[in-house]
Amino acid sequence: MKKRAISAGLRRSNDPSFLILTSLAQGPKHGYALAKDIEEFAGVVLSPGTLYGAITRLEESQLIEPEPEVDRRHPYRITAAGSTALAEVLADMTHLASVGTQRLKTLTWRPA
Amino acid sequence: MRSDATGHRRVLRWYPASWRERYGDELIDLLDDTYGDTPLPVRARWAIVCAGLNERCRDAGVVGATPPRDDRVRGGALIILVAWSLFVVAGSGFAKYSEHWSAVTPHADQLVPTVAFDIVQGAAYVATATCVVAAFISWPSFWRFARREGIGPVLRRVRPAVVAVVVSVLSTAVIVVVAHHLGATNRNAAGPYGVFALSWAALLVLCLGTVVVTIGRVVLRLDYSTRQRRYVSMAASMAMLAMVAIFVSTLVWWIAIAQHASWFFASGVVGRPGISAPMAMVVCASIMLVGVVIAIWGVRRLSLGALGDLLTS
Repeated sequence: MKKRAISAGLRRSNDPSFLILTSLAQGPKHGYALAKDIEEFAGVVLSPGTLYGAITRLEESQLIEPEPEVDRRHPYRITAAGSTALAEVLADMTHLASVGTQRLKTLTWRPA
Repeated sequence: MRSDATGHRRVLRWYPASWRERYGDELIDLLDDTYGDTPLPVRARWAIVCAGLNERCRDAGVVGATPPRDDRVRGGALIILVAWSLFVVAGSGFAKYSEHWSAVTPHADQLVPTVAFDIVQGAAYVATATCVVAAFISWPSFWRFARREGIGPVLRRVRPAVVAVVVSVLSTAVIVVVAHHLGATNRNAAGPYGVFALSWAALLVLCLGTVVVTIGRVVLRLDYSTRQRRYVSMAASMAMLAMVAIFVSTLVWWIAIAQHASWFFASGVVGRPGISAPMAMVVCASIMLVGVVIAIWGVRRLSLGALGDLLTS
């Protein structure tokens, strides 16, 4: 699962693939709704080219899948594999965040 | 296919056909939603150009982590073909620039540059031969492709390469005739003939690029058997080794001449002060270096596909 997530570019918190999966965890969305949601919750503006590049990779990796067309729109939803991959990456990030927080608490010197 | 009231659809030409078919309408909808009736901002247009070219490279198996094995071998071989086309350009420049070097190099100092120069020539023959071998290996696939698609569509696909070859031959014939009607002094002068010769060289580079792109577009549609993939991988790897040999030998020749006959890079008069880094050699070696890096990248791509073949055979 991790290999598939990495091949889809799911590694860092600002990866378009990670942001898309996070957005789709809320429910199915089409391209424009995805871009707006990501801008809102992450403050990241994904260009249309970048967004559809990431959607292509995620669909190839079967982490997301298209839903039937609604009003000329093509929504995408996260798959079970996508949920698992997102959960794994979030767990990694949570672990890193907790390690970083712990180390900050025990910081014995003050940076200049 | 929807209407193109906003003109946004034009950006889709940067993407490969298969991608356009699957995601084209969705991307246009997104562009229409985001930018309305206004033209795309330069930054957004540039991002789409980059994304489209990236998809084309993925489609060709040139980049991407998970393309099928067939695509990896084809992509790797095409990368090496691109690298070889760079070597053809740089090698032609080097061949022209290094003309008559032995006439102004002391006899006692000729061994190293002579060996290096011979290796350059020998490796160039080897690399050319591997390209021909790869073409022969691909012939059955091309024949199947021609039977499947029909002669008309295939001829349309290869027409740019045919036109490029005809233009190259005709322009070369013209410059040979012109050169024979001029004296040696006029041929070497930086006058109209120099401009003409440079234009001819630029035209040949353009034709070479056209041929390589056409070959790439055809090869992407060929189906290779496991055995063909293996042989193409071997031929392409051999070409990469030849390119490395050419690059290293060119550097050795350059260093040897700079040490023992540096006047060759300046006035050409024996004993006069010379230079060690003439612009022509810097440009040729730089293009070769880029070619070597691209070729190594191609072999890495190839080896991943070929390794998969070995593991499953």
